[in-house]
Amino acid sequence: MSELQSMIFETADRIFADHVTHDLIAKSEAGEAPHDLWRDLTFAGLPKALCSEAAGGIGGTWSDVFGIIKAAGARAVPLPLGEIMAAHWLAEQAGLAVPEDAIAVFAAASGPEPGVTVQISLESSLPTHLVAWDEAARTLSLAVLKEADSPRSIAGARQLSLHITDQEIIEIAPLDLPGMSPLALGAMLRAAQMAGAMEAALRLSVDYVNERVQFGRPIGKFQAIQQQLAMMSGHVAAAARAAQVAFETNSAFDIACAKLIAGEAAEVVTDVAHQVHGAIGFTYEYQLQFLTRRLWSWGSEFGATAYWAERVGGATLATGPDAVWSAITENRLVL
Amino acid sequence: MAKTSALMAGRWERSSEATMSADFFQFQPFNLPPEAEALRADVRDFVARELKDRPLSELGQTWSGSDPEFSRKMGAKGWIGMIWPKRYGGHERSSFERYVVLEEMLAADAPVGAHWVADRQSGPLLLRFGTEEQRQEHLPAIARGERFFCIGMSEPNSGSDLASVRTKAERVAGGYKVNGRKIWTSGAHRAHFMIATLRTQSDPEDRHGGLTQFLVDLKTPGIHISPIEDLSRRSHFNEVLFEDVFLPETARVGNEGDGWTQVTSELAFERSGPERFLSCYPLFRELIREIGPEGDRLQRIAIGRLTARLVTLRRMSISVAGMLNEGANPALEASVVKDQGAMYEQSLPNIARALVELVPTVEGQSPYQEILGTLLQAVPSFSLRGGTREILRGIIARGLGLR
Repeated sequence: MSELQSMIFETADRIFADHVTHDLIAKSEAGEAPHDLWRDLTFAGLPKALCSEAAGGIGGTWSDVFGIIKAAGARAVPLPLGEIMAAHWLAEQAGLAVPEDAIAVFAAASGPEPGVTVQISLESSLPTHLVAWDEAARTLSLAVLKEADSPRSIAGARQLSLHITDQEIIEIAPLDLPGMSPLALGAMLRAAQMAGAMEAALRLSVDYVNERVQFGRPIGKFQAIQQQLAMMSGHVAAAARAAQVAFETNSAFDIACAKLIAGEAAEVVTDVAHQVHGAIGFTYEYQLQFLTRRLWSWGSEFGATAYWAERVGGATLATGPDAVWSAITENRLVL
Repeated sequence: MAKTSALMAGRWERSSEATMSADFFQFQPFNLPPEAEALRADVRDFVARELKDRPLSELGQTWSGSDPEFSRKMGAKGWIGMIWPKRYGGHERSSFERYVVLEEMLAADAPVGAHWVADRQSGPLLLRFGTEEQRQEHLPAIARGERFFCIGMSEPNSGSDLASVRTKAERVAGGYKVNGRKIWTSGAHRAHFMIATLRTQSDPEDRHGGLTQFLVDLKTPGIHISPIEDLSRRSHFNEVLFEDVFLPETARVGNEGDGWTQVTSELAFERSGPERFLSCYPLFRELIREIGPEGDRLQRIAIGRLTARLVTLRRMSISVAGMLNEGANPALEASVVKDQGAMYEQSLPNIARALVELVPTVEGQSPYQEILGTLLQAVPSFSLRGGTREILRGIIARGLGLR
């Protein structure tokens, strides 16, 4: 990690560790907003980590904040920090001014004009504004986030489907980000959160089997347990590496690979983590569920595994048998 | 009581500190440097020229396929012993440059098996632990692609439990007398020398301490090599019988009793290379050809999963190569690459059969069917060779803090 990366990572992780307890996540899942957590994150300047210093930010890159988004996943931080960072990042590029007291999240939007429709999975009741990116219209809209009845995801996130009209829209600006799309941006965030949640599930599982005694010894001494966790750890490592690459290159192809590798890995990780935990892992009281329910939910958001797999497979087949290898070695496979 | 304490341990409280977001693995981000990339075009030209018009029966074997002539040509290009010092016939290139040559050879299904073990394992072992005389004698010949090695580790009663080897090297005047047998020795029938791990002391209390490595000339009287047909009737591995074989003092590699440490250091290098996920690349390529440029939804999804896994494994493997290059010891990461790579490769033939309805053959219908026929019968060995899946996962488990 560079100096900037370790500095902002340590700041963020300390704030997460100080605030994000079982009770905080539980309350947040029940609809209560984590104001103190938000206050400290804002004080540390993290929402604007990706904005230039001129715009009051830290001037970081996506690669610089990878560790933070991953840690937010590892700790099941109950607010959409990635979407908030993305909102400020997009707003600066489009020249939209987000009000100082607003808590804005990025969302994928689609027509019809003059309003926009957004689909958003929103963790926490905290956000007040939307920064809606319409890829087809190449616009970014800043709008007030209105309350609406909404179903909840299995991770407790509100599933909003909103039509935003002139009444809520504060400002619209043109935005063109070649090579990036709202869906890919969201998938990149989820891939990092999932990588973090899987590392945490592995950590929790290792700690648990080293402590839980049956047949006179910690169950982690049994090869049946060791073999499963070793296999699972390979999937965790692959997901983390793929997500890291996505944050380094920001290419749609690498993001697609990261999201689909994370989705595949999460199937194994949630399975094995619950298996080695036994009944205790199946309770709300124990924290494993905060991770596994999010993994199930995140795997379906911003393009599920099969969606991205089809895109990657389509690109591979179109490249053709004799050009695929050179395309892989030269990072030329594109969606 | 145990249940209550586990319950409390499973709650996130302020005291949980930073451990939740600490990494188990260190896959540092490395990319292949430009001087390594610059080699690619040359290697591609070479294999395109050398490998045109190959018979179908030779396809799909990659580093199990053996062609001494091809090895000599690679030696002449300077692509064996690439990272060794020039004074031993090496070329002092970076390990990234070597990585590029290896992966290009594997992707092209080149028959690199004759020199593979000497280049990957035996040469580096002699560089680290061999005498000056041993290095002078063997390294230049290996680098020229003229001297091939095999590894004598497994025995009829010593497989995964390597420390139990019983083939004995007894001290006699001027050297050692060897009796016993090695088995599953890949390439022994085509190799000139073996690096054998033998027992020099039988102390049941110190099984690891009684092992010593030897450089064995396979022409020595008393050595009998019998090929064993594998399930596809190919002869890759052998039984090697030692009957009162005399080895001179100068055949010992390293100190008496250091065999176990030396073997373990060898295995770390063996486990993370591109051969751990590119042995099946030719099948992936031909599968894409059979499906065609568009495919149906099921085919696109399955190919997409395979592409993503391949790309990710390659990045993990390059990351391990980078860490090795910097002198780190990423043994845990290397084991993870091998385990993940074997799962990927073993899944490939079955996925291919689900996507394309063509019968796997051994008598040459099409390149796709031939490679499928070869690999379908080869992949079970991928989680046996170089440490079984179970041993590997045991190593990973220890790295995770279990055991």
